[in-house]
Amino acid sequence: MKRPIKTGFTYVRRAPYQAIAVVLVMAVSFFVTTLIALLVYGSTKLLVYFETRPQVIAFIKTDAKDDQVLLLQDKYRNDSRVRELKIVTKEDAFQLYKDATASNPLLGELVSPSIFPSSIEVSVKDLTYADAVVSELQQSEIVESVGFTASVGSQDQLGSVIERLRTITKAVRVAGAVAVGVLLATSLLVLLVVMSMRISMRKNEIESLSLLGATSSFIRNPIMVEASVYAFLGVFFGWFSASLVVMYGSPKLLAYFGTIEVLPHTLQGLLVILGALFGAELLAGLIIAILGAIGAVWRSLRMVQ
Amino acid sequence: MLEFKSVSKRFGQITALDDVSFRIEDGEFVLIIGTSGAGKTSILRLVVREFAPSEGEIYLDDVSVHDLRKRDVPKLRQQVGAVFQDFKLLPTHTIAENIALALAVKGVPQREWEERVEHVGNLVGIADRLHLFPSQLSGGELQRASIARALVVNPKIIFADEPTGNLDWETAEGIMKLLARINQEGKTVIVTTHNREIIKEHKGRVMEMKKGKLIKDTNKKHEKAD
Repeated sequence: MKRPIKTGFTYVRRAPYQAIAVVLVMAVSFFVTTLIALLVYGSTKLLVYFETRPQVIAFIKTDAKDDQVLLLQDKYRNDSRVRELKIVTKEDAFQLYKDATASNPLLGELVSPSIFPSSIEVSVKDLTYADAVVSELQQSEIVESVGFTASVGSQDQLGSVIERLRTITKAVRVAGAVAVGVLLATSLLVLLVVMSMRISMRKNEIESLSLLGATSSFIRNPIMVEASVYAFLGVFFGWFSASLVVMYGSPKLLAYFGTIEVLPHTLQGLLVILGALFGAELLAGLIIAILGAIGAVWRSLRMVQ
Repeated sequence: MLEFKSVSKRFGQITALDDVSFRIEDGEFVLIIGTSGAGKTSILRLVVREFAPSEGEIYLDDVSVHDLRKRDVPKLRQQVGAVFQDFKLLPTHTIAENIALALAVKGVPQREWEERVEHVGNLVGIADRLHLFPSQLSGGELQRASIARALVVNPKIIFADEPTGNLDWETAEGIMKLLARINQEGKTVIVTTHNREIIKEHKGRVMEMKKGKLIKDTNKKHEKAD
């Protein structure tokens, strides 16, 4: 295995400009691939965030009796349409108010828990159930009003926000897959063309080796090493540049999205994601390199043998 | 032993070899002569299985060259020390590296390379040229390097295709003497040539080709023995 590696590196050294061209094309491909992968990750997290928020909040009338509230809770706790149910008592609501007005403690001191309504927060498993649940809650005699945590004003708008998110996420995934596919195919093609060019420059060498009795693998292995070097460098530079961009931009991005974890909040978490991406991209790059080298050598040997 | 049995090779309308039969025993030194296009090189290309015959059978010892599977071709080529008119030395490698390449192809351990390369370098008289690149050598030296590369793997048979084609008479004579010495050491040597001087000087077997046919063989007893 020593000879193919040594010969492969010699091939790279002999034509540095072609090597730079291949590495640059692959670096651009994997730069975009890294960013698209992180975009898909972030949009998925965003969608999951909104999908798992309590979508329906029923504010309980202040004169409602405890057993009536318990009955309503039990009804929805055992409902197959409901993913999660949470009770917010008057005290909890008061605490939330105090937390929200922490910058102005006077506001918290002016009110007492009794003025806050207790509420039931319901997350449905699918948004299509939301309408029915809302209607049922509105008809309940202990419910004062029904609202939404992700509310942008009305029931229609809540649905449309999530629907829009779903559409965007799907579009990002599809467009990302198409873009990544096109870029990887371009990389494969460029690698194939450059490797074919390199092989055609070495046609006499391959012919001589073949006539000396070299096996296909003897001829192919150094060329595969050469292609793998290009792939490794291309993946590394593409991934590294994209990682720098992401690490530079992530504090602003995370601040903008607040509690929504479109990217991991810790450096360690971000490095894990980027590391996993590097591994996956390196694998893809090596597959492209090996396929490109095999294809180019096969074409060349077909002409020689 | 190399044997051709009624071998023909056609490329479309062109017949390169037409019903050629001969048998060359181990240790022989045979000249295959003829004008350009007579079919001399086609014999070498059939022996190293660059292509298969259109008809007929070819045997190299116990190997049926004519129906050899593609994956077995490298092994066959490792047993034939082919010397080409255009040398086929790699310009980016030194002469020593070119010779060692044949050893690498055959899978000889690297620790043996230096000794074997020096040995054949001495044998063919280019020991002091081993560190040079092909572009720094004369035609005769390049042909000697090509012979050294063929010899280094200790092949059963040396097949030299027009080894004196581009050389002056003095250098050509030196190459033929070298091949004769290799033959005296027990190797089968087959040389194709159209050089009249070499043919006149050669005392051994001569096979003459014309338009793809074997028209004369000074050692017919082998064919009759079949």
